[in-house]
Amino acid sequence: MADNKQDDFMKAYDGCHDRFLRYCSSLAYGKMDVQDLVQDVLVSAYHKFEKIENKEQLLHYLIRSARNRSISIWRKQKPETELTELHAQRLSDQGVSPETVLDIQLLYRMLDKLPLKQKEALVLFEINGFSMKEIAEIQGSNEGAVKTKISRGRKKLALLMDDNSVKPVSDLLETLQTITL
Amino acid sequence: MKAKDTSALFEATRRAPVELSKEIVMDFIKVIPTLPPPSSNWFQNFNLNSIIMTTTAITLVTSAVLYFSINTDKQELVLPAETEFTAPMPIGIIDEFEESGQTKLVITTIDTVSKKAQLVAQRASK
Repeated sequence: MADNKQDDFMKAYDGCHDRFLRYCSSLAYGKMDVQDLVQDVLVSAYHKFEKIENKEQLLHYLIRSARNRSISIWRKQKPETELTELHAQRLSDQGVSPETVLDIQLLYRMLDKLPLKQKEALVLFEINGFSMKEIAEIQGSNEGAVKTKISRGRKKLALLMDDNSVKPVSDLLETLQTITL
Repeated sequence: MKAKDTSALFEATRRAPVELSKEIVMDFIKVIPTLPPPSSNWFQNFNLNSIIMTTTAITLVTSAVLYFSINTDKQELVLPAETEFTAPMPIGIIDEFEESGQTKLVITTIDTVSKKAQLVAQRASK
């Protein structure tokens, strides 16, 4: 009985892994260990697996659960630098180049500055490849609202990127001023 | 970093492998049946930290409310209004004296009505 349940769960989870992990990474970046979040959500989902009527909807359940859990256990157990280093280390172990790791970390940092729902819509659409309809189902809203969130999120992200590119120059000028004066 | 690069960043994130491999997660799923089920006991949400934080906040707010609600101004002692004492006018005077071994009493009546009228007239003139 338990083996059957485990097999069913593993079979259902198999197709969710990549998208679920990417979503969890964006949620947990710099705040908590993604492994803790994933384990927490999986334990909860496993014990409620019988109650999930449509097993194909497991991914939606996992994403909603991850979002809710990340809010309720939003406490830093480790310093931010340690968490980001852990993130970089794990990606490097998977064979990701250091440049790509930096790009991913920059994107996560910028995404973190967006409102939660906007960030979620953008991550689900751009990184996880969900359709607008699916995102609307996950967020409990309509396609129009999702479209607006994604559009606004993109614009804000672009502005944040511009600010981010300007800042180092101003910092450099400030440092030069301090040295010369 | 230019704004147009956001799509490149999304692309890089989409293409990169995930932080935890599928094998690691599947190994964890195999362990789940051996773990105790998550308790639904809401009482476990209370811990020493939350109790201390809540109690401190409540104490601070209560003391602030009490401190600012109590009127600390010194109340001035209000003396009773001065009242003019007017002794009742005697109606008569009793004198007592001895005369040839006998005690005699002389009672003199006073015309209180005219005396009162005199006093009122005196005050009015002042």
